[in-house]
Formats: sequence, structure tokens, C-alpha cells
Amino acid sequence: MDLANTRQRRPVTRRGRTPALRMLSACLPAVLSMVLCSVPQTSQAEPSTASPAYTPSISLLGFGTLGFARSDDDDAEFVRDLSQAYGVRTDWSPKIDSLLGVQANMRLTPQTNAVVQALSRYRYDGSYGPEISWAFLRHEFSSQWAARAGRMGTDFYMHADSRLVGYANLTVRPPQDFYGQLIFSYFDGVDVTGTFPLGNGLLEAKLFAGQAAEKTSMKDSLTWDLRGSDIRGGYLDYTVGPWQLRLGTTQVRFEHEIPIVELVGANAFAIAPELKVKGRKTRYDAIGIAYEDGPLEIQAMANRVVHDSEFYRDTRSAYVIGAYRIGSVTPYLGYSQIRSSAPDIRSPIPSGARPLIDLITSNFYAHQNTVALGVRWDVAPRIALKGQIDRIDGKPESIFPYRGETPDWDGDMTVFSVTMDFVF
Amino acid sequence: MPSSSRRSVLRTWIARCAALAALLAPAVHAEVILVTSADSNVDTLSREEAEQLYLGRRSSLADGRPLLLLDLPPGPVRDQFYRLLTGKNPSQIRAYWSRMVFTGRALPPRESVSVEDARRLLLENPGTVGYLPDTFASDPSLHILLHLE
Repeated sequence: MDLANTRQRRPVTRRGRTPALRMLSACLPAVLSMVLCSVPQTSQAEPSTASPAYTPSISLLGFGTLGFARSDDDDAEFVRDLSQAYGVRTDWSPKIDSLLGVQANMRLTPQTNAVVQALSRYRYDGSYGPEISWAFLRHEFSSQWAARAGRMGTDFYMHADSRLVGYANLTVRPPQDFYGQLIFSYFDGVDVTGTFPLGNGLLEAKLFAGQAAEKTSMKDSLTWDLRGSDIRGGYLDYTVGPWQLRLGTTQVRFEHEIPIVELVGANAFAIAPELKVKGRKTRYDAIGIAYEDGPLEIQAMANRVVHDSEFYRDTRSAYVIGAYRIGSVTPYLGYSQIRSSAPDIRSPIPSGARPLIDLITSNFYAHQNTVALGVRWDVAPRIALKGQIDRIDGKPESIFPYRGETPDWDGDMTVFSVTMDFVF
Repeated sequence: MPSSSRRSVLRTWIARCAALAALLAPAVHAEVILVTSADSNVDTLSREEAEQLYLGRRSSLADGRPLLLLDLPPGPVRDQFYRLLTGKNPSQIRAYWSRMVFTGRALPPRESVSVEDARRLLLENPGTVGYLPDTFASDPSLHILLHLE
């Protein structure tokens, strides 16, 4: 898809939001009455003797997190990921982790289903949405091939599309060193998945392509429009017994320019055009491995983010989490780190402009390690309570992962979090 | 403290420990069978296939025939089935399926309201696969695909 095509298609994407919103408003009263009456959450059509297996059915479900977090350091704000404009300091705040999602699953034919999900969470503009995060049709062409079209979750990393579903995950939030840079939650497009038995396991191959549909925060209330950015990628995933292995790569080509004047107070792109981001690509490569057998659970991932533009610095990050379940209580220990590469300024820059360029690239420096210690307690069938302490040790210049750093920022921070995750 | 009150405190604690032990002990139903209707065209199902189906990693047989899966309502048989087939306990299964459902990757098996309802659905819809306690093993209208113990 070339740029011209991309532009032509965008208005279609925008128009496409209205029916989705109408769908949501149609679904919401049903969801509310369902919650209030606390009927079983899976309301399926009554079986008929003819073929009850394949009568169209709809089920309404939801997930959410009520979470509070604070740090021990007023010199920087901790954010869950860089789409958030503001983070937490030393006062307990519910904003970075709390969210609510409702979803309708519709089984249309034995091979076709539709999913619509609405989500309210702390967003790039400081509001809580809500937004339509999923709205897609899925069709299985055969036992091996399936395709989706519509709005769907980004699959950049192994658990990227479920990172907001706290109940599905062990930790309070995905390791920020690794997932913090991931500012895409969903996109509008298509994907194709092939599933092939291999040995005793299953090999899954997926290709996806589409356009970003979100904005992100740059600094305070300054936002950067990611909508229309071309996203394409794929992965290979192999599951066998307790093991899951994932190799993936995703490329984004940005549709809009970074609001540079508002960001740094000068049009740095006029001096150094190679810093421009519009039309340039960023690639996210990742490898992940997960092991879950009985009470033992281990997951590890590594990635690199490579930018064509000189504006951002490339990064590498990795994490490992180990957990051991004892009854309904699962203590876990995690380690993660992120490293930025040196600024990659290849274009000639007038010596007078050097400080400005250095100021820009210094904003994207990350060099820190985090040790996370926490516990998940499955206190009731659909409720998990979690407590977590993150100890971050970083260089004072490591400011990319944070918001609102002061000159006294020393790179070290401890973050305390308590959450209640639920599904209904 | 009088000895009678001490004894009652002790008794309370013994009761609490017993309750905890009962919670931690494995479920009562030792065996579960994976079955389909005797009229079904599903003849065999390997353990791996069954696990992949019940974990939502695939939704049809190798030859492409779609399969309808049945779940029992939450309870000891269901917990034991998933423990035997997947090694996951009830909360792990719920967390796992939350991931599958809320990413739109798979729809969970259809939930029957009781063991009898599951048997009825199996018989009315050949091509449906479900699990039952092994007390149904001698039921001539059912075809056993897997014996989980």
C-alpha cells in the first residue's frame, strides 16, 4: 500500500467509527442490565432440536482493573506506557492502571464470529475515553486458515493484545521497560492466521496489515497523531506441551509529523531534516518464550526497536518473570531492563544547532534495570488481588520512560502498586 | 483461661485446618471421560488435539470439520477435567481463557447447565464433543474418545 492509497482510505476509516459507536450504545444498556441482574455472563440462545450447536448467539463479557500506584520519588512521574500524558508521583493514584472493558462476542455461523470491545482507560489526552478497541469479523476458511477484518489488537509482542486485561496476566502491569514504548493498542486492518500441526505441537503463523487508529502523548497535553500510520507485521508462534515460543516483527510507517515546534520550541527539522519522522519507518522485533506447567510459570522476552528517523534512539529491552503458585496465591519475581543506543545523527548539522539536536535526542535516552516483586491472590473465582513493588535503578539521564522529570531526577525509583483485577 | 474454652478454641482451629486441607486436596472425581455421541462421525481424538481444542488453539479437526465443544457448569468435574487435560487449576484456566476471549482469539466452549444437559446436547448434536464423569462410561449411546485419569 503506498502513501497515496493510504490517504484515500483514511476518510473511510473515520466514517467506519460511527456504526461502531452506535453498536456500543446499543450494547451498553444490555451490559448494564446484565451486571445489575447478575445473570450468568454467557447468555446464549436457547437450544433448538434442529441444530442448536449453530444457532447464532451473543455473549456479553467484561474485564477491569481498579488499581492504585505511587512511587517514592517526586522527581519524575511513572507511567504505565508512553501513551499516557501524566503519571504518578508520591501520592496514591488510580489513573495509570485502572480501566474497564466490555465486549460482545457474536457467533454468526459455525465459522464466523464478530467481536466488539469498548474500553475506558486513562488516555493520551488525560481523559478516560471510552473508545472502541476491537470491532472485527473473524472467519475460518478451513481448519488451518482464518482471517479477521476490522479493528483489532496489536500483536507486536507475545502478550501485547492482552496487556490491558489484568486478570489474564500475572503481574500488575506488563514490565514497563519492555512494553512502555508500545504506544499502539489497536489498528484498523486485516490479518490472516495459519495453524499447522507440527510434531506434538501447533505452529501458528500470522500476517497483519492496517493503519493505526490512535493518538499518543508527546509531553503534557501535546499529542502526536498516529492515525493512518501504516502497520504491517507477522509472527511465528509454536506451542508444544507447556512451552510457547514466539518470533515476531512489526513495522510502522508514520503518517503524521511530530509536532516539533510545540515540543522543543523550534523547527529542528528545518536544520536537520533527517530527524523528521513522517513517512519514516520504525521496526519492532521480538522473541518471547513462556513455560507454564502446574504451579510453575516462567516467561521471558527480548526486543529491539529500530528507527529509520534520527529523531528517536534505537532501544533494546528484555524481561524475565518467574512465578510459583501455592494454592490461590502466586508470588512472582521479575527482572527487566532497557538500553538506548547512542544517538545516530548521520546528517550534517550546523555547529550552532548542536545543542538543540542534543536536547532532542537526550529526551529518548533510556538506561535502567527493574526488579519487580509481587504476589497475585486469586481471592474469588473472577477476582484477583495483586500487590507489587518495582525497584528501578537507572542512570540520571534515563528520562525516556518517564514524564515530568525535574533537574534533581537521579534515575532511581521505587513504585508501589495494588490492584484488583476482575472479569465478568 | 478455663480448659473448656481452650478446648473449644483448639476445636475451632482444627476445623479451620480441616477446611483448608479440603480446599487444597485434589477434587473428588478421580476420572473424567471425553465423549461424543455414538452416532458421531468423530471416531478418534488424540490427547494433544483435545488439549488444543479445549485451550482454544484450534476449533476444528485436522480434516477441517468444525467441532462444537461443551463445558460443564463450574464445579469439581470441570475443574478435574482441565486439571487432567491441561495441568491448569481453575483460576489458571479462567485467566487463560480471559486472554483468549478478550483478544478475540477464540470463543470458549458452550456451557451446559448440568451433566444431564451435556449428555442431551451430545446426543442431539452428533459432532459435539464433551466431557462427563466416568460414571457415564457404560452409557451405550456415548462413544468414549479419551479416558482421563
